[in-house]
Amino acid sequence: MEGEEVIAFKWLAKGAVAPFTGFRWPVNGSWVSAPPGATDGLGVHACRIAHLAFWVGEELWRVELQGPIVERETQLEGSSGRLLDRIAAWDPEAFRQACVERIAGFHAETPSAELSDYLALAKTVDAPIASFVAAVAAVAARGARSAFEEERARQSGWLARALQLREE
Amino acid sequence: MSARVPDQPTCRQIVELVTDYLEGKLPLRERTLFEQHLVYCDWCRVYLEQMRQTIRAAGEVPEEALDPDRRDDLLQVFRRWKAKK
Repeated sequence: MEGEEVIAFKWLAKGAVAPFTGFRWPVNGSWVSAPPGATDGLGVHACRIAHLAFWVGEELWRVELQGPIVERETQLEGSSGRLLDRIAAWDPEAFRQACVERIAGFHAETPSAELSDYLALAKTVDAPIASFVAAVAAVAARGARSAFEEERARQSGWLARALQLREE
Repeated sequence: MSARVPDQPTCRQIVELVTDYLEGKLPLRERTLFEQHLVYCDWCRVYLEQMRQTIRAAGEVPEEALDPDRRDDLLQVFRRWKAKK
């Protein structure tokens, strides 16, 4: 995708802060470039709708990436990027609750002490943790490790529908 | 819990990998899994931030600021540790 521009999504901590580096993103649309000579994995990251659930954070932004852009397993990486607009409809509590209900569904289908523990845990944690717990609970309920990825995909679909997101 | 999930690192593994992560030395796949772990693990996020602060603080301490006796103590501890390995 060299030279292309891609519209994607980026999760940030409160105040448009990158959750892993602490970098505060400019919210005025200014471009941010990866350091010159940045190796693979150290560019500007965002993700497609299909991978939203892997990176849940406090704020969700629509972003533009500039190439060369590399598509990875759960994220996109470009040489520069900028924030376009914040998804104001993002409601972490609604997502957390959906994850809790999902685990409750697993537990109703195949009751077990393990699923009961996951359900109790998910009720006490925030949205990113609850979504991880729900994906783990899916593995416990289905008995197949592939259920983890399937649950993450389902969660991403939920986010896309609830926030009315679409690929551009 | 993460034992149920393919490829997900444990908190213990995150602690072992944190220096390589901060130095940008982790291979891409490990780096991605490391960061995915941070999304759902408050403890490891705090640990990473503590390591960052420690590195920043240590970087501001000039070598001359270390008391010579303390330096010798530290060297002895280090040599004993190395001799045991």
